[in-house]
Order: sequence, then C-alpha cells, then structure tokens
Amino acid sequence: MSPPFTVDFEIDGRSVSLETRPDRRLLDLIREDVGITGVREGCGGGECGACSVLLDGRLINSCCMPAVQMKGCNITTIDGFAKTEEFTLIADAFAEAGAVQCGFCTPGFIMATAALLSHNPRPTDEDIRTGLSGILCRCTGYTMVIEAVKIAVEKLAAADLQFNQQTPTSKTMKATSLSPQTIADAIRLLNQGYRPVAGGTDLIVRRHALLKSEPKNAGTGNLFSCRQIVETNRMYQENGRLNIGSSVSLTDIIGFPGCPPLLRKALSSIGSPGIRNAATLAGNICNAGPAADSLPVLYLLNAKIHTSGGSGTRDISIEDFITGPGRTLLQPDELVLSICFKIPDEAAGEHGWIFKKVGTRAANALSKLSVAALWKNANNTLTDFRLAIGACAPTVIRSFEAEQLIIGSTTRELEQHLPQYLAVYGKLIRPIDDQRSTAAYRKNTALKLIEHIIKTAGNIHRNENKKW
Amino acid sequence: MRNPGWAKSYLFKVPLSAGESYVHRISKAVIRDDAADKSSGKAKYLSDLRLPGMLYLVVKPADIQHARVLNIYIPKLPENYTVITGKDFKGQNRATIIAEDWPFFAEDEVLYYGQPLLAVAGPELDICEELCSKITAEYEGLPAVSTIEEAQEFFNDFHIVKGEPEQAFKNAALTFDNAYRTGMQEQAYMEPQAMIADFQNGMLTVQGSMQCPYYVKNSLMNALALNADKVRVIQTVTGGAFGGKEDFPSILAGQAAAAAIKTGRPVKVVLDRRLDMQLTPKRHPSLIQIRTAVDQEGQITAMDIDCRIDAGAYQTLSAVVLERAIFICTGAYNIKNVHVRGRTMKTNHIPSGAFRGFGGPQAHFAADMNMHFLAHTLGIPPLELKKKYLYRQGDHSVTNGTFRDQIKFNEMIEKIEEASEYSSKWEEYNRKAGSRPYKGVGISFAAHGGAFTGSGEQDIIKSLVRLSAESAASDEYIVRVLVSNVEMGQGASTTLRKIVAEAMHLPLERIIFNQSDTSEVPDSGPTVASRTIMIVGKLLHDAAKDLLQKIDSGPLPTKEKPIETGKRYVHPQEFEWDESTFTGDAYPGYSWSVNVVEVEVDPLTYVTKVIGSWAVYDVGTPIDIQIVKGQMQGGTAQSLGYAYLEKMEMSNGRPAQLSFTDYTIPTTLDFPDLQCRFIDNPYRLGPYGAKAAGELPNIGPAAAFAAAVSQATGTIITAIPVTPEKLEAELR
Ligand SMILES: Cc1cc2nc3c(=O)[nH]c(=O)nc-3n(C[C@H](O)[C@H](O)[C@H](O)COP(=O)(O)OP(=O)(O)OC[C@H]3O[C@@H](n4cnc5c(N)ncnc54)[C@H](O)[C@@H]3O)c2cc1C
Ligand code: FES
Ligand code: FES
Repeated sequence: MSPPFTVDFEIDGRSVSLETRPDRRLLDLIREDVGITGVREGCGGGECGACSVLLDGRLINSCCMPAVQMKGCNITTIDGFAKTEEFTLIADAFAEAGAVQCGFCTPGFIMATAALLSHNPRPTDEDIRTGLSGILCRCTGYTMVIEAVKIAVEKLAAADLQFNQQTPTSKTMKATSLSPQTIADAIRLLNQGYRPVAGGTDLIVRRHALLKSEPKNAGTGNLFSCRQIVETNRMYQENGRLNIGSSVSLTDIIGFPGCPPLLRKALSSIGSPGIRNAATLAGNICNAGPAADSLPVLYLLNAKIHTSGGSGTRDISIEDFITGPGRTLLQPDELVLSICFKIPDEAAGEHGWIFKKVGTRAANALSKLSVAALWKNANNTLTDFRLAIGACAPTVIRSFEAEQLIIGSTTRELEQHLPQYLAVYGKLIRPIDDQRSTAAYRKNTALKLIEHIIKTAGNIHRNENKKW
Repeated sequence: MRNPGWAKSYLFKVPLSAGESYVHRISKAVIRDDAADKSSGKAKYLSDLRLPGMLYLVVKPADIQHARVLNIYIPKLPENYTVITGKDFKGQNRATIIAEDWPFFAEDEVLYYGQPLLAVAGPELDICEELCSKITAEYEGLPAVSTIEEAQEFFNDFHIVKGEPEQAFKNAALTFDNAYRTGMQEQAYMEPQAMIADFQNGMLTVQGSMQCPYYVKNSLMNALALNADKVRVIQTVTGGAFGGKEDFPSILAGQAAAAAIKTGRPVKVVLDRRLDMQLTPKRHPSLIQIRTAVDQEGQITAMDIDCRIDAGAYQTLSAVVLERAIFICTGAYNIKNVHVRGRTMKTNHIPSGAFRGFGGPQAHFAADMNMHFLAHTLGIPPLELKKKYLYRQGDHSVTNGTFRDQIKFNEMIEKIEEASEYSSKWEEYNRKAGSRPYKGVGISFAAHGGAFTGSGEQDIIKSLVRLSAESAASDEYIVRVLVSNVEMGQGASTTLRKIVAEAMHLPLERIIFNQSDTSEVPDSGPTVASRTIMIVGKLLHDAAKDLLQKIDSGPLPTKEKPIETGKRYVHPQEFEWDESTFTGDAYPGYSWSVNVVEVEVDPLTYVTKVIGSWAVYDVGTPIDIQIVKGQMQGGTAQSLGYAYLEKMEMSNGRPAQLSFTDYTIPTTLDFPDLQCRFIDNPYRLGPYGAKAAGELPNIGPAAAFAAAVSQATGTIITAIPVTPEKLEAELR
C-alpha cells in the first residue's frame, strides 16, 4: 500500500482537501470521499464514460485519473453542472428526444455534450458522434441521443447561452512532494521507488484491475506527477523539428498546428475524446504495447525519446527505446521528458501518407493491426518510402531492407518486384492469436494493406479504391 | 365524469419525424417521469446506497473448468471477516430459476470456469478482495465439454411435428442440408449487478438491481427456509437488464442474504465489470441444422430442424428458451410440414440465461438465412421467395396453433421499401457484384409471441395487479399502480401509468408508480417475455375501469379509506394449449417486424460498416410512440452488435473477452440513425390495442445484416458474429 498524502482540488465550486493514496482513482474520491454518486462506474476501464467529469473544462474518465494528478485541478461533476442553466436545457433536450432509458449512461452523455458544445457550439452530425463516442449506451442505440444533442444545440442558441470556454491553464501552484517542479526532484522520487504517471489511462486502469483480481501483482501505488515540470509541458517547433513534452495530452498534440497530419490521424484513432484529453504520447510509448497506435508513425518519423536520469540525459531512437512488449530501455531512475522528430516536408503533390488502423469497432477500439506509411514520389519514382506495421510482432515492424529495395524504383519496377517486397515483409510479420483477432487475419490483412500502400505510393493504381 | 379536461394533460412535445404517425391518442409521446433524476445523477442505483455498519461481499470464482474440489485453503481471517459457503443456506444451496439446480456456491464439484467457490464478507472492500486472492483450492481436474458438438448430455429433448414431414421428404425433388450457428452474447447492461441484503429481527430485506422481485423473493424463501412474510425484496433503480437481471439476481441475492444472516450486518455486493462478465449468464449459443424439402415445382414443402442450444452447466431456465426457439423455428414463414427436435446441451460453461428475445434471435437467424440460402440456390430474389411463405391470418404455427389476428406483411413491405429502397438497391448491388467497395442489402422478417407460453400466464404466473386510489387534496385523488413489474429503462413506469390515466380519465401526474417492493405490491409476474404492457397493462386497464366505476358510484377515496381494486389474469377461452405435447396456441398474440440492413465491406480488411438500418413493426398500438421507438432502436443496436461486433469466445471454458475493450458493443460511430416505423394493427386483447414490443427488435436485424453481407461478399453467411476474421478466412 502506498503512503497517504493530501490532495487539494476544487470540485463543483468548493475546495476539498483529502487525505488519500496517490494512485486512488478520482472516481473513488468523488463517489466515496466527496459523496457525489451521480458520477457512475460502468466499467472501471475507461471504456464506458459513465464516470465522465470535466477537468479544467475538459471531458475525462474519472476512473483512469489518479489522485496524484488532481492537485490544484478544477473538477465539474454532473452534480455541480446540474445547477446550471445550460444543464437544464441539455437535460430537457434529452428528455424530449427520448434519450433517457435506464439512465446509467445519461450523466456521462450530458457531460460529454457540455464538453463538446463548449468548444463547438454548432457541431455537425459527425462531430456529435465523435464527441460522444466515449460514452457507451446499451439501451437507446444512440439515435435519440444524437437527436437530443441537436435539440440542445437549438435550445442553447435560442436562449443565447454560451458555455464559459475554460481553456486548461498550466497552473502555477506550490509543488508538493509528489508533484515535483524540477527534474532533480523527480529523479529523487524515482530513486525512492516512485513511478511517474501521466494520463493514467494505461497505468491506473491496469493497476485497478490487478488490485481486484491479483493484488499481489499490482505493484506499488507510489506514483508521482510530472505535470509541474516545465520541460514536460511544452510543445514547440524549432529548426524543422517538433518537440512534444511528456505531459502534453494527445488532444493538445492533435490540435497543435505543426503536428504532421499522419501523426494527427494516428493519435485521433486512440480511445475517445475523454481518453485523449488525459492520455499522453509519452505514456503510449512507455507502455510499449504491441498495439500502441502512435508507435508505427513514430518509427516512420525516426522519433527520438529525450530522457533524463541519474546518469544524465539521453536521446534514444524510438526503435532502440522499445525493446519488447511492455519493455523499454528506460532505467528505473530515468524519466521521459519529451519526444522529438523532424517534421516531414510536405511539398504539394509528391508526398503521400497513409495511416490505417484495423480496430475492433468504429470508435474507442484497440488495434488488431495498423499500418503507417510515408513516401515521396517524383515523376513516378519513389524517392522516399517508409512503412511500419503495428500489432503484428512483439514490437513495431519497420524494414530498412525492404525500404532500400523500394526507394529509387519506378512505377514499372515496383509492379515487377512487388512479390519480392511482400516476401520481405511476410517474413517479418509474426502476429499472434488473441482475444481481439487471429494471427492469420493479421498477417494476411497486413500484407494486403502493404500491397495497397506500395501500389498507391508507386502510382500503380491511381484509380482503385483509395477511400480509407 | 369527474375529471373533465384530462386529455389536455398529455404533454406533447416532440414533433413527429418524417414518415411517422400515430393513430391512437395514447401513442402520443410524453416526457418520461424518470428522465430528470437520471439526467442530474440524483437517481440512486444500488451502488450509491450505504447502510450503517455495512459489510462488503466479494465472491471467489473457481479458476478451473471442471474439477472435483479436494480442498480449499483459507488464510487466517482478520476479525470481522467471514467466509460464506454453500453450507450457509438453511433451505437449499440452489437458486430457484425455473429449475432448481444452480448452486450459490460450488459443493464437491466445479462445473464451469468462474463458478463461485465461496465469498468473503467484511468491512473493507479491498481487504475482502485481498483475502479472496489468497484463498486457494486444490482440485482434481475432470474432462470438460466445451462445445455443442462435443456435448452428449442434455437437459431437455423436445419434438414437435406439424403436418406430414416424413411424407413430404419422401416426395421431395430436392433436399438441402445446412447448419447455422449463433454465438454467445453478453447483455452488457451499463449498471453491473448489485445487491444489498439485511437481516434484522428475523426479517430479511434485499434491495437490488433486478427485473423480477418475486423470482428473487421465492428463491430466497426456498434457499434460506424463510416464510413469505419474512422476506422483502425491493427493486432499486435498474441500469439496464435485457434479461440479464431475470436470472442472476436470484444468485447474487442469495449470496448476499446468506452473508447478512450469518454476520447479522447489512451486506452489499457490487460486481465490477470483469466479474459481472465472468459470473453472469449470457445468450445461449446455438447450432441449428435445417434439412429442407423442395418439390418438383420448386415449392418448399417441409423442414426437418435440429436445434441445439448450449445450456451450460446447469439447466436453470434453458428449457423455456429452447421452447421459444423451436416454437418459432421456421421464423415468420409458413412451412406446411415440419419436424423439429430441440435439445438443451449440457456443457462446462457458465449457465446460459435470459437475454431479450429468449431463443427467438437464434431460431430466426437460422430460419431466415436458410430462406436466403434457398432463394440463392433456387435462383429467386430473396424477397420474392420470402414473401411467398410469410405467415397469413388463419395459418398454422409450428405448434399447430392458429394465427387468429390479421397479419399485415404487405403493408409492412410497402413501408419498408419506401423507407429503404430495398429492392432497387438489391438489384443495383446484384448488377455490380464484385465492384469495390463491396456493398449489399438484406431483408428479414420476424415474429414474436408475447407473454408466457400457452396458458402459463394463468396457470404458472397467476398475475395479480392492484390499484389503490387515495385522496391527495380535498377533491382530488391519486392512484397507485401496484405491480411487481419494474422500470428498468424500458419505460414501464411511464407507459403503465399512461394506460391507467387514459382508462380513468385522469391527468398522468396523478398516477403513481414506485419502485417495486414485495411488501407493497402483489405478484403480477416477472418483467420478461414482452408481457408487461400486453398482459399487466391490460389487467391494469381493466382494474382501472373497475376502480373508476367504484369511485363514480360512491364517496371519493380519503386518506383513511383508500379505494382498491385488484385483477387477476384469466386466459381467454379461445386459446388451446397442451403443454405435454406442445400443441396449440403457444402465445395469445404475435408481433411482427421486417428489417432491412445495408452494409459496405472493405475489400482489403473485410471490416463491415452498417450504412443503413430500417425496420417496420407491428406491435399493435404503441402506448408511447417515442418510448416504443427507443425500445426498437436499442434492440436493433443489440441485434446488429450480435451480428458482427460482439464476440464472446470460450477458450477452455474461460470467456476470452471480459472487458468492454475486448467485448465490443456498438458505440455512437458504429451505425447511422436507426430508422423505424410502425403500422397500425390494434391487438384486440391488449390495452388500447397494444401487444408485445420489447423483444421484437432483437430478433430480425442479425439475419438482415447477414443477408446484406452475403450479397456484398458473394458468400452465404451461416454463422454470427460475422467477424472480419471469419470473412477473411472464408474469402481468402
Ligand atoms: C478506453 C481506452 C482506450 C484506449 N485506446 C487506445 C488506442 O486506441 N490506441 C492506443 O495505442 N492506446 C489506447 N489506450 C491506451 C492508453 O490510453 C495510451 O497508451 C495512452 O497514450 C497512455 O498514456 P497515459 O498518459 O495515460 O499513460 P499512463 O497510464 O499515465 O502511463 C503509462 C506508462 O508510462 C509511464 N510514464 C508516463 N509518463 C512517463 C514519463 N514522463 N517518463 C517515464 N515513464 C512515464 C508510466 O509509468 C506507465 O508505465 C486506451 C486506453 C483506454 C483506457
Ligand atoms: S467507469 Fe467506465 S469509463 Fe470510467
Ligand atoms: S440509457 Fe441505459 S445505458 Fe444508456
């Protein structure tokens, strides 16, 4: 058991100071310690959205968020939101549309609607479906829920009500022992056996599940937050390179103007809005899951992981950094500070890219496999070609051998040698059977996608379906 | 009339969407009475409740599929922690779930992976969990049965014959043999199962998330040897059920009650999602083999159907699921000569249980896809063939009952064509077969018999409802609806109140419906089988008319002197049923649907996308058009999930998908708007013409989906879920 610590935050307009454990879920703090039960637990795994709350105005899943991250935050729950005029209009819209059945999901939908409309007061159908995609409902089939949001939009417009747009501010607050402000303090914590947590969407979900089923394997709950370390909160472009701090959320990366579209697409495919608001790129990398969706793209971009530890700083290439499923080069006393890569140039016409994720369903899905590619085609000759495959081997597959064969080829040559290229990839693709898919499907589908990509990149099939 | 102007009190709010209309005033939508508290989070589900001095209960599941239990090692327990086992049931260590064979805790033998061995009760939840993880068992492994094919033993073996199938097969010009498979499906209600039990002064009170308070009560009385007046069951706000809270609450309530009695403290148990998925019954997987006889003229003359469902390790209510499946084994199609054999196969799986549709979805998938196969093989467009065999008024069902009421398939087909343009799409996709992306459209028909089988409503359920009028102000009175049917999201609290309001000419606000509490409500039966409106609603309607007459002919009710009426179900004389031979009218009335699904299949990944879903329903009079529509859309989403997204595989008896990450129910992005329409066909025995609705939408869409994928890919789908993995293997 981890040692108690005290966390202070604002919830529905009041300040609370709670003695708790650093790994305790915000959901439990809200339901048990504060006593607000309208925030519900449907899955405890970040999947259902019943536990949705707003953190500094952004939708998050409170079952993933650890207490140690809460210091100085501002939380709005359904209980607080229910006292606003906006709530009344949205709730009326839900009632009128018939969007409430068993109601277990409803507070989550209402919080997601509030979050959506606060930054997008006139959403399209697609925006609504995406904005609500992290909330599961088993009763309605969603049609009436979507309708409800449309009615809410009209009502809010008619009432001339606008949400206070709360943009998350990086808070200046007193550092506590578990929210160090300097790298040196963080390394001290690492040396005392503490672990960094970012969005918690991997770590907290896994830890909570283990506590329930095999507590002895759950590890310690000694966590600390990196949010107060300036270096981890920055995202900037410099000399054609993009630096992404390890505490920056996926949502902020996606919204950053300099983010390459290829990376934006890959990150947008991760989880749901609530997950992306909390989760970080560093977390995705350090978790080192074979199906982590950022990794194929980071391999293509030759990304470097910038770390700091007891024996100094390091810049490690992503390929070296990831050593196996769930394993990285990171030392116990080492911290990821940022991720950095050269932004691919995008002269019109010649460059192309594809990111294709084959997931278990249309949203909030994990990858069965994924393929990312980036190329440059000048006058029907491939002058650059990079391709990476996710979830088809213990780590991401990127074959420099195949790429060297392919680069420099003309359309005709590509067509001729296609079987040879596919054979090279075929040898590297060694997927497994698991609860999400089969090895055979993964392998065959990956090869079909690779073939499709090579043909697209090489202009072999301009006319065939490119619609992904 | 004492209440002039009552009709104004209907709050009509939502304009009807295009193509939608209602004929009867009662269909007009009202705002649900439970929407406000559910939206604001004020509604209290079980997990939100705490009682003083409450203990938590954590169940320890077995981690082996089939074994003799040699020993269970329990670490030394801290003070105030207690172990609960099968020995703590004074009556019997068996729940009453129709059959009485499922134990609360395993005894000498574990029959399925995850079977509860015992439970730990104590003041701190995480300490209970930790103690559970330290409890180990020593087993002697036994061979396990994991598939329907492997299974030799069965709980039930039923046969039904209609016409002269043997003769028809002898005269057949062609015969076809096909096998159809459907998978296990998890109910995935958003609120996990939860219960609190409290035993004080000899009185047991159980509160929880459930569909059938009296099922739970009866099971508790039997298991704990308590008299009826010593057991009180209260339903708390229920976050979805779909059948999943018909059977299992009896188990969970028993476990919590045994702990409450043993410790003398209130005991709360809330399953987390993983345990909920691991411990609770799911939809029966099925293997249905159909042999079809076709004569010289190309007419389908007979079917010989062998229907096996995976009942799991205990029988519980599987016989009734099987009955529903075999009674409707030819789907919505009239086949003159039928032999059907049905068996509930015993396997080492978690007992299969109730799930909306209750045998109907499995039978219809096989029946409809078999028609699709026949159409394809005989070279006839599927709709043309299906249309020819659709049931008509006066036809005989598989059990030789008579369809007494009008069946309006022609009108329904017209409507669905108009909405979906099925036929022109079908022709277009047929012409463009093979072009990318692969597209297809499918149509299916479905029937659902409302209420309990045969005369079960009268003989077994003996449904009784009560209404009580009490004074509220000097010249006003309120009416309490006293039934054991629960609001679980489906809208019963609103629709039942509407029926009483309409019958008594009272404003809706004056009709009161509370969470069901067995100390207050009579046993009007379980909230299952699409019976709540059709049977209980009708009883309430009749009771309301009686009550109105009583009130009109005497003094108004006062606080001290409420006026009450009761009504008990009597099965209409016109229906005949022989339970021993399954002959006659299996159900008093049928509801009908036609479904169209349109899909696009990615030629590279075989990922299917639903691009359109339409349905037309005959549910008699919808009591509230919006509530019924919500039922139809929700059920359609479940059926589409069943068809391709929701995969629950057993590997050595272990469910491989135990989270919403791996068991993927639909999200907002999986389907477009689910379109639905109704036709007007009031049911003469229902309240204001209403009949069964709740389960109907779960029955047809899976086959329409499979037919659409069949067209898109040029291969006939015979098994669901249709995963990209299966399509890839098939089409590689
Ligand atoms: C519902 C749901 C859906 C998901 N969907 C997807 C998906 O589609 N695709 C996908 O790839 N992933 C998915 N994930 C997984 C997860 O969201 C991502 O991997 C996410 O990027 C993790 O980021 P995080 O900040 O939440 O990590 P955390 O959980 O906070 O941390 C993950 C790991 O990284 C370590 N760590 C964090 N920061 C640092 C640091 N600065 N230095 C060193 N170590 C550090 C932690 O100690 C921990 O071991 C999903 C998760 C959930 C719950
Ligand atoms: S409880 Fe389901 S997402 Fe948090
Ligand atoms: S209304 Fe029941 S889960 Fe959405």
